[in-house]
Amino acid sequence: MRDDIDRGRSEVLTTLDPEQMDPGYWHRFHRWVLNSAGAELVRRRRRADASVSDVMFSWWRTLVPTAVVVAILAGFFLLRDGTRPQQPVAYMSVDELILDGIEVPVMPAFETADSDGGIVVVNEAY
Amino acid sequence: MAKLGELSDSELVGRARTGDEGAFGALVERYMRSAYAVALAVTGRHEDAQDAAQEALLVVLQRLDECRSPEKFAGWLMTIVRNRARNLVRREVLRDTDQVPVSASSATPTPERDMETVELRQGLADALGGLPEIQREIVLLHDLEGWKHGEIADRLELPSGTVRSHLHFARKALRGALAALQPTEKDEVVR
Repeated sequence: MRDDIDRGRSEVLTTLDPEQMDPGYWHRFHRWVLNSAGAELVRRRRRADASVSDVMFSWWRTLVPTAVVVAILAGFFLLRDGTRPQQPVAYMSVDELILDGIEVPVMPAFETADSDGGIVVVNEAY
Repeated sequence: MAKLGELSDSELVGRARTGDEGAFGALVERYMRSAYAVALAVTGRHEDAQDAAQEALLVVLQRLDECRSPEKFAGWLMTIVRNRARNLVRREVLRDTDQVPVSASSATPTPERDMETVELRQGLADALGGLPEIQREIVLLHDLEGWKHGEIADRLELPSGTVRSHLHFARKALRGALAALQPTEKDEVVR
């Protein structure tokens, strides 16, 4: 009895399969899903078909206009700087260039008392 | 070259990601019945199970790049189906249609058999309705779709012992409910 019911259970469960009462149901189900998925599949194919040249071309389309704009801006600033009055050039001798920035040694200051009791500061440069 | 139907889920997912219609079609063919069974276990109604299963299969395609473990595609798909079906139930958009497909009346050979099947389906639906959702899902996947214990455990990410236990209790409950549906000898004589 129990085995019969177990066997019957599987058979009964098959009545839940829509195909049992509606032949061709799964075929239509499958077709409906694929038809509905068409746009997404096309989008994926296009994305996958993008070749290296396509990628490079997409870069080129962005890069070239940017480079042109940058070149125009650079030219503009260069030309603008060229029209300004030139500052006078200060010429320096070699000695000045060599000695420029070098501190001259200074003798230490000596403090001595003069005959009047005042202080005399001696500071002599070499 | 291997037929699409012989390829693994992983390989089919890889191809479907690039828009291969055949590969996606093979995945749909492989899992549409299981998706329907899982959705039916949640909603308990044919129309809603159909909607949830179809929607889930389309969502899966759109989100295919999110499937990080293509070898576990089936489990991932069933999770999406379950969530879609639960959303349908939660939003209370269950349609007021009969649980039997509309086209059913013209598909059966005789009105007598049609009525018998409808009664059987109704009784079975009631019996299944008395089971917890997870038990409905497991018994449908096992007894209707023919999934093995290991496959159910792996795809639903459940311990094998839990699957067996759920199946045992589900069958026990169904056995009792179906015993009442079995035609007795007296009924057969009357017919």
